[in-house]
Amino acid sequence: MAAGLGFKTFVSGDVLTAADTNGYLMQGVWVFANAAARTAAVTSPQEGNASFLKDTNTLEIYDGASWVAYGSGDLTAVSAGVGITVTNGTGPIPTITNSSTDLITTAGDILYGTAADTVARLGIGTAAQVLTVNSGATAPEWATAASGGYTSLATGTLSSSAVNITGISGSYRDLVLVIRNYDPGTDGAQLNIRINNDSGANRYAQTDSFAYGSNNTFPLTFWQTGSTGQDDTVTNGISYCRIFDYANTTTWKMADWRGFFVNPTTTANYNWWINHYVFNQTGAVTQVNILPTTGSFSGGTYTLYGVK
Amino acid sequence: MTEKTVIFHDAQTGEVIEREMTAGEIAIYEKDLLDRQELLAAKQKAKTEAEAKRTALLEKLGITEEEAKLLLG
Repeated sequence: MAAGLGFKTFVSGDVLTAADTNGYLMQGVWVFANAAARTAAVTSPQEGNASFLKDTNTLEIYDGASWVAYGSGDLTAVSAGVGITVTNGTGPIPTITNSSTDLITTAGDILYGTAADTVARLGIGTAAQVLTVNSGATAPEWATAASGGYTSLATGTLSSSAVNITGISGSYRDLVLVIRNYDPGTDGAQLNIRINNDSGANRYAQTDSFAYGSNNTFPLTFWQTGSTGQDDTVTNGISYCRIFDYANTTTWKMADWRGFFVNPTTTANYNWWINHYVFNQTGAVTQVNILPTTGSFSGGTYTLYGVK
Repeated sequence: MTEKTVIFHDAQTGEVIEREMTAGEIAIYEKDLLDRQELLAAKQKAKTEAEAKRTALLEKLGITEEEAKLLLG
């Protein structure tokens, strides 16, 4: 079959040629019983030829390579899925709306699922908040970012014969006690730390740095700095004691305590220590006691930090 | 004799109270002193014994401490 030639207006006197017949007059919609009949009749279809098959009631167009159903794949209707609303679904122009966005009322809102196929709105947080999971692990929420640093729980000046820091919150990971400028009332006095004001016998032990050992005993009633004490006039020393996992109630307690004192004999020199300490009680640490080994404090400061 | 005092610093409330030590606290304080003296004495004893052993060994070897350091260095 010839290819279609388009459209022509014949006028009086025109000669109707075979080419005109095939290119214009025969370019209508050919009706066949089925595709086989079409194939038999039209052995060389041309792009743009049209046919109607009675057995399937389909209109097909030859695309240059094969016969394809006219309108194949066209939508006949649009229906609403989850979170979608549709108006005029059968056309001619449906309107499709994402109904989830109707939940958004404010800039910064976010949507999250509350159940299968269900969403809810979470309003924006405040400045510097971070998105986290709520305590029930059921939904996201905005929360203040954890500082991750040191929170001062108590700070003051060393005086009296003992300083007892009480009421320590258990909501931190570790405790850090920093003692600055310790001034002993008695030249050369060291420092002691006691836990929970527990002066019971055989509860405290300490080991020198880098040491290890087995079958160790608890000969002490406190933790003590491990070197000659502090001068009582030049008080530039500092120490740092970290008590690990202090709030747990299942293990004995452990600490690292390091620092230096100004040498009481030669104040241009210093004495230092890095020791490991153990306290053989399992109760949470709620109290830290600071004591000079003799006399009373003459000065210095203490700060107890909670460490996240 | 000066009264011994103790400070209580409540980390929850920030309240700081200084008061005289009770008899029980003074007893503990005094015991701490004794414990410390025993601790220092034990340390001193261990140190003295170690020094004596080192001196005896140096004499036995017939070398000075500086020469021993050279050998071990």
